[in-house]
Amino acid sequence: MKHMLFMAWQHLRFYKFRSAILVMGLTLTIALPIASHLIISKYGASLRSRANATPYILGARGNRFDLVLKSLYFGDADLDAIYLEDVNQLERSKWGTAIPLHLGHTAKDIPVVGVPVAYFEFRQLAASDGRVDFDLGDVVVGSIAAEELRLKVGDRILTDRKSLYDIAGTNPVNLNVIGILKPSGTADDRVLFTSLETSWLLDGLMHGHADPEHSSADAHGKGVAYHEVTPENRSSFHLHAFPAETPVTAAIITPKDQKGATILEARYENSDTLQLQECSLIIEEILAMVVQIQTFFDTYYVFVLIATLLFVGLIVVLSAQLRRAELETMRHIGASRGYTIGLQTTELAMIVAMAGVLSIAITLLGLQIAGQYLNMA
Amino acid sequence: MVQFTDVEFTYPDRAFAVSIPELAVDDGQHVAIVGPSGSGKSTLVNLIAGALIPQKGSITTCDTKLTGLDDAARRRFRLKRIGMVFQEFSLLEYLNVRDNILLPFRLGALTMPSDANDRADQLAQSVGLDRHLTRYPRQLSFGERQRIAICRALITSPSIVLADEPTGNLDAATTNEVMAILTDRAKASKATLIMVTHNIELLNRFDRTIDVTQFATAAHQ
Repeated sequence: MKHMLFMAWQHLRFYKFRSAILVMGLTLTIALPIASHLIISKYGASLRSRANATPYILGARGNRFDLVLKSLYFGDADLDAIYLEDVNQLERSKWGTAIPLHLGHTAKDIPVVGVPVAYFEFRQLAASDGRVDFDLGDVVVGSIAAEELRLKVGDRILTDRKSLYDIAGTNPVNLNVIGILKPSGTADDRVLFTSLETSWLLDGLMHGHADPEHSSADAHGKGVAYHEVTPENRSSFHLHAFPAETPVTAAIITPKDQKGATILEARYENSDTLQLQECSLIIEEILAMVVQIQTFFDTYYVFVLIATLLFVGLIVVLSAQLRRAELETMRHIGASRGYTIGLQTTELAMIVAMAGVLSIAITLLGLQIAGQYLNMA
Repeated sequence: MVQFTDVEFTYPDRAFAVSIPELAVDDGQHVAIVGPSGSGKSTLVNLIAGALIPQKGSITTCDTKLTGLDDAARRRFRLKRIGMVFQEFSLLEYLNVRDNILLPFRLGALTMPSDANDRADQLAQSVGLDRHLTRYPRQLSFGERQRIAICRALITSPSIVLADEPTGNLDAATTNEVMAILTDRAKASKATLIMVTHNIELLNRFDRTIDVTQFATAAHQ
């Protein structure tokens, strides 16, 4: 066996190009369906996990998938806002508790999300450095965001202007980093969290008066590029809107019990302006579509597999014909037919083994890359 | 010693047959097999090697009655006792010179001796190929390739070396060089040399010449 392995390896090594094509062809045929199945399965599990930890989302009427996905994963938010009063009203009904979210801003292209401090407890997020009980102008940074932006407690980060041509718009805010979150393996790792008040400041609904010693904040924006909240000028900031009309993008709703869930669902079912969506149902609906696409790809992969096997078979047959003289020489010298068949089988087994190892490596790499891009736990 | 007694062989398609009532080759003899194309030279070599088995009669090679052995035993016998040299060199392109010489030990029926590498290197040195041990056949001349084939035939220290027109593809100068190496090496290892050739100029190098025309019979209808 040792000699057969030696001979097979020498053959594969000598005809490197042909061997590499066979290995790569088989690797892709094996790795693609396995990797896509694993990635989709892991992504599905990750989506379900976050959805199951988020019972309902309350938001403005519109695309329900957008509302749920953007509230869970903080994507580019072009959702219509609702009033904070809508959320407070639900809380006053005692049928459930609500955690409002306010999206729509970024800092160096990373989402800035306005939340109450209760959000951290709800998501079981804790600081690895600093604290989470933010005040106006403070920011708590997710672990990956902190790594990408190289932020630490005490640093400042300037929010992005909404549009380069937004001359009449609101100025950015230079946020003060007060805490870095422990990694959670969720979308929360890639976010900058501020208080709801800070997100309203970013909306231009609040302004303050400058402290000439420390502040660059100027409510009139004359010659000042950005706002900065400091301990000295914090008290001068105030809201320029009715508190009941302050906007939020959505709210995470946790019904008190099953009865509360039923009542809340009924309440918002016929609302003209609001919708209440059960996250797990929406995610299952999305995953059902993904499964349909997966089924299509599975069929496609079966055809690719058949084509690849035919291709490999053709190469094996052609190779055996090309090697007829060589194999006859071996038999003339004294090799058995079993030996020459075994030799060719060993070569094929080595190619399949190499393709298998490469497939595992590619699958693991794919899972790692997908994990980074898809917020998978 | 090679002994043929009342041998009759016909190919399965019955297109060609040989009949050899009596043929003996002594140990250590150098024998040339001659005859026109298609007269049965290669058939005779294959019968001696046990690669073909006659329908009648018996063949004894090196005190072993080949006609009484099964296929596996004949293959083992061939690997152990017979070295073969072919006209087309029949080297494996993907093995280097040393591994081509060691090929008989890698075909599954013989145990590779611990000094096999040294033996291969010595053989290569004796035919002037010691500087090319790690090169591949394509990188060598025809003469050098045939010298590798001779080393491969001798690596198992065979009792008989069968050569089927080993100089058929070589020019005159290289033919002389290869013939000198083949006969010298066979003599040095006290092996019987049986060689098919068309080249009558080479016949004076042999102890004896066998013309196979006498053995060929008409095709059976």
